[in-house]
Amino acid sequence: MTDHGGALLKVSGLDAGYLGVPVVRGLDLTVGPGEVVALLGPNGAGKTTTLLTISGLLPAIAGSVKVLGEPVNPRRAHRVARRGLAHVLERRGLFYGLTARENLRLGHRGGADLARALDYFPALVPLLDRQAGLLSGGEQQMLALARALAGAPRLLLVDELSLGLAPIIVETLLPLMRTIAHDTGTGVLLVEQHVHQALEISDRAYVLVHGEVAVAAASDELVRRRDMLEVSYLGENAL
Amino acid sequence: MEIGGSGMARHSGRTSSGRGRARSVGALAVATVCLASVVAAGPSAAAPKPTGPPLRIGIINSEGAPGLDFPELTEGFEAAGLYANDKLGGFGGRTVETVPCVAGGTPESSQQCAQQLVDDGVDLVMVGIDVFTDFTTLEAAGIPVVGTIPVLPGDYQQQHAVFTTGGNLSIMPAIVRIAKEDLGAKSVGLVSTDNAAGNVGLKLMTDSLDKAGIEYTVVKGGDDETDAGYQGLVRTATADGPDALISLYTGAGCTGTIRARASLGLDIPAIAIATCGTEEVLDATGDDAAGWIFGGASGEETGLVRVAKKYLAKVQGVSRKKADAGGLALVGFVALASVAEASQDLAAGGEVTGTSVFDAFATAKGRRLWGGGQPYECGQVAEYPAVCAFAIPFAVVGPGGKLKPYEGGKLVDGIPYLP
Amino acid sequence: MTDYAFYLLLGSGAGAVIAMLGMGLVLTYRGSGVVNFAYGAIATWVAYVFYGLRADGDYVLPFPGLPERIDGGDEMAFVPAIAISLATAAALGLLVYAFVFRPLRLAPALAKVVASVGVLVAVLAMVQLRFESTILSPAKILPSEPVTIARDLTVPRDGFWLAGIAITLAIALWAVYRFTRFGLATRAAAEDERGAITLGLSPDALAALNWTAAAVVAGAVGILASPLTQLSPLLFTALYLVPALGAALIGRFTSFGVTCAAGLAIGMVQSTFVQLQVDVSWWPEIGAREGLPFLAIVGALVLLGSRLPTRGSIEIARLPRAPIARARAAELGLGYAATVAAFFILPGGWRIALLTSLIAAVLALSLVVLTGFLGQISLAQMAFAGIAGFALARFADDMRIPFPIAPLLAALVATAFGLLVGLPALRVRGINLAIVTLAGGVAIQEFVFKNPDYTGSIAGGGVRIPKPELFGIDLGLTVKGALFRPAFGVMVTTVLLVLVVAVMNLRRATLGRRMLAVRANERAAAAAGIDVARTKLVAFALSAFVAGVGGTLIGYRFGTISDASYGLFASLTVLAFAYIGGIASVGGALIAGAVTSGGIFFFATQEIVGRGSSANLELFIGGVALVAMAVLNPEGIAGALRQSRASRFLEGRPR
Repeated sequence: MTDHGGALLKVSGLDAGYLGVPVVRGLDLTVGPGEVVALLGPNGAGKTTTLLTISGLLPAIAGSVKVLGEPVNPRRAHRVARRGLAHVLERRGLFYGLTARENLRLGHRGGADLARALDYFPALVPLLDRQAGLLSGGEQQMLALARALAGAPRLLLVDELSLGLAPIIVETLLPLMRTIAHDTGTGVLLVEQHVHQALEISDRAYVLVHGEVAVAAASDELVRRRDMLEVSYLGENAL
Repeated sequence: MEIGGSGMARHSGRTSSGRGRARSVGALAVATVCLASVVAAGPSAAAPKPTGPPLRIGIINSEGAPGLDFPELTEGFEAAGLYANDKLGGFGGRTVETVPCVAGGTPESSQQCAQQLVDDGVDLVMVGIDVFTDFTTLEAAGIPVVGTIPVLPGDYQQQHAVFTTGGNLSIMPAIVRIAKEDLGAKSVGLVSTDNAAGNVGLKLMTDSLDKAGIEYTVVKGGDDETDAGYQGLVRTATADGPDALISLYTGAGCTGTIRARASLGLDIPAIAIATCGTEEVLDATGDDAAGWIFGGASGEETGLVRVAKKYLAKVQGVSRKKADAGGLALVGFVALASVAEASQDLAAGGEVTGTSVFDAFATAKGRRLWGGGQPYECGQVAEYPAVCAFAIPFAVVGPGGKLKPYEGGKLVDGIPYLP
Repeated sequence: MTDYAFYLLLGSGAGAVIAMLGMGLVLTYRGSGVVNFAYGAIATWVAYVFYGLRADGDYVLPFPGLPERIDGGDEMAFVPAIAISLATAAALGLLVYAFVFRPLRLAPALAKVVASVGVLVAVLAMVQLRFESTILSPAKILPSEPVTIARDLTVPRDGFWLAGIAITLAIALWAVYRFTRFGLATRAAAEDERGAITLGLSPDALAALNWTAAAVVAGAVGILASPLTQLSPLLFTALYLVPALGAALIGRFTSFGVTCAAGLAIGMVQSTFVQLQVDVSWWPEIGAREGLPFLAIVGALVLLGSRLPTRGSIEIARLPRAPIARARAAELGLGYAATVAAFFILPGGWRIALLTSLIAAVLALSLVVLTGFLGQISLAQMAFAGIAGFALARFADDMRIPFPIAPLLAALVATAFGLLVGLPALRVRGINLAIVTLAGGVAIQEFVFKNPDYTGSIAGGGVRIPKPELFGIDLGLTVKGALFRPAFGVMVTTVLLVLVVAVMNLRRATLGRRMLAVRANERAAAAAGIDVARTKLVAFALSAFVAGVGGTLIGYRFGTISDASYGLFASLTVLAFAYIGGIASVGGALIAGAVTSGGIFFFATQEIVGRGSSANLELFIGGVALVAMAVLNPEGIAGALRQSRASRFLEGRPR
């Protein structure tokens, strides 16, 4: 299996949307091994749509998406996951009727290291036999992440990790993304609302506004060029 | 004169000639009765070949519909048509020409058939099994109707149509008569199925029993009873020790009730209707059926059946040996042949039209159905003007599981007990 | 008391059949989110195949045009016969899933219901076509010697065996779903398909496997249970299906154990009715036996407040569009005039076909209101028509109420009834409602339509409906000397025109918009200030009224009424053709009328091709056509016509 120029994820000229109506236009985006890439932008910019299209849950309208060197086939979306893509959905996509252990078991495909995934989230260990629906918000997010990691993915998509979580939990979980990417060489694409924290832990960032890339730069640069960020979020006239 | 019986004792399944007859019961359980063709010295005297212009006889019959598939009735009519042209001088000297129309078991298709035959300009219509016959249309067009088996209550009241058998009206009161007069029963247990046709038949049975002053216990089951379920039904029906057991089940229920009585070790006399007296059922029940009496079946093949087979073979396109006279084929045959016989006198003088042929048949007094069979008189019972013959044969199952004629094959009618 | 215990035990066999069919339904639903109304049909086909192998050594094929059977010599031995039959079951389940329900995964509930009705009809017709003698007595498989319960009470033991098998199956299914990865994966996919896909699970493959397993269970039921009763086409297809649905509902389409227990209970309690009907004087003479499962269903829905667990599917549920009809008065007038003229000009057979089409259009209109606009599935629409028909007989014949008033009153009776049915519909929606209406239709058939007191006994001479007459003009269909009088046709066409205009106006009116809002999203509609309950009730009432009018027209047409016109089969037929024509538009209803069996399109084909085809073959084709329509074009013929005409820049179609 070849990496196309080393990139785990290569999106070219992507038009993505619903029922033939594009919400995202002409998107170019890459994620390399060990990289944490942030995908930022105001609400309705098309970030979730992009992630859904990358993992094949939504068919692309135009353009191409290549994960681990091979194009994504939305008719066989589950195969992308088997090749090494993990996607933590916006609403976590947990199976609330199953226990935490059963959730993990489904994420874990033989050969991968379940214990290692739990290493990152020791707080889950005493909760393994509890029903996922009965866990707290933070615990559920940890479970979703652990489940994604249980399959030893090479590319990890995380959608709104911080949604509905207390700030202190966010502060713990976000840097974990950095650690994971560093430790395992997994590429991480992160959709986030907490702009500054996201920039702190990421290598590069794209800012998506009204379905198009307004800014694509290294995270350090964006931290320094705050005005560039604000303009892209709020529009030229806001300042 | 030897009295025997013939009839539709066998419902053939897959026959050796490969032309089977579907007989699913489906939503409408039609209680069928077979005519007794009593053998006399032989068929009636041959008449000169018909010379007049063809008389077009429409045939309405249900085929190919769920639960309503009786192609053999049409075959019977057509075979009788050939026979009539060959031996009976057609209808009053005019050649018989049959025009079949297949009804699909819905009121719409029956109406369509009636309309179609009117458009085709037929002179007379013969009906096999057509549940929703559109008498109104045919009557308005002045086309008389001779039917074989009435089904719906309205059929019995028709003024311009007659039926060669009485359907349920023949069977139920005749059973009551046997119960009262032959078995001396003062109380009976009744087992019946809770569906539309079954309920109509049951009401008729209970009305007749009331008239005969016989007490009864009614136990109703479903169309999907297990063998165990039938045992429960029969057990409850006989719990008070009645003098006889009567089963109004048809089709699959026949086997069930027969087996149930045997499993319970009962030897109380038991009566069922003719659809239980078939090869299929008797094969399935074997010795268990010993002692059962079936109303409307008889147990013998006769010379007239052989005559009918000769012409059925032509219609079916097989050799005479392989001709299938099972199912309701003979009902149709006898009906058309009887009309032909009744209209033989017309050849002498007078106009031969559909109406005159019909009148010849319908107003005849002191005649018998084809082959010296049972005597008939249409409208003999004023409350049911359309019925021509009420008497039916009975058959009884011998110890070996074989069907034989009941009481020497006498015909029983239940006229005293008609409600 | 031992008597009742005896009857309970006697009913164990029937209960086991219900339990196993119910569990198969649950398995199908948990695996794929589909309530398979054709489940019993699979059991039926396999049972007949097995019988063919054992009795004749023939393997029967269900493909029209191809050879009917493969002759495998003489009777086949038991083990190979069962192996082949169960393999057939698996293949059939897989085929049905692959060609029917897989394409419908994203489709709304109505499409799935219609598709499974189509499968049911097609399989039933094929049994009739392939087996000349369809009432069969299969040889015993399970041991059936009697077991002595008490003194002289014995029960054949095959019922116990089957109950044991049912319980074992329940335990096995529970264990698989609880402990195996396959079971986990299925439960996961049922809850959240997207989440499952992100873990590399294929909901599609899981559904296919569950379907296959369920089909094998159906086959096993068919084979093992048919010696207990006698095999007939409607046995598993319809007779056992309703109680099985009831059991599955009580189990909330989730729990195998509860479904099994409920199924056994229903069968056993039904068995006690044999004694109850004798012991209890007020026991209803007619319909008690089949009415019970219906009560079980309603009870389950009301008491348990249960709704079917909704599936977390990736559904972009596209309901059929309900366009505002843009016909102008001139177009309507032209159509009316042409139809009226046809009644004068065309020969008799055509007029009859046209009449069938017009009445079918009226019935389809009633479904447009209920299903097209409001989005509620009714599998018993003809029950409303039937109630009106029977009421008409009372009003017009017994009470001699004159023409336009009697049928209007009869339709109002149907309306009242529609309100009654609408009440449970407030709590119940989608597939649940489909099941309730199915059971309700069966119940009405049981308690009303097959009661000779209503339908007419032989001694009573049957039910008559006198001819309609208006201001001295005889509008009757046929009178002495005049067949198929155009006057009747004109009356029917006028009624249809009035209803068409009324429904068109309904669509334009606020009420129509409210209905569509409720159809799209009840909660959103409520949040927008719409009184959902009232809207639903009004829709049910209107729909029942229109169906009632249709019922009276049927009565006048034939001069009498019969349960065949109004029974369950008729209801499914009406739904099928309404769907084919286009369920959400007036134009669709008119097309439905045109293509209905016995209608003008049908008649024209017969005139060209020649008469005398087999009703069973037509039934088979109809079933397949219905499935094809559900899969390929949920908007029906009307929708297809609209699409080809309209310009479609901005509309995309989902893949």
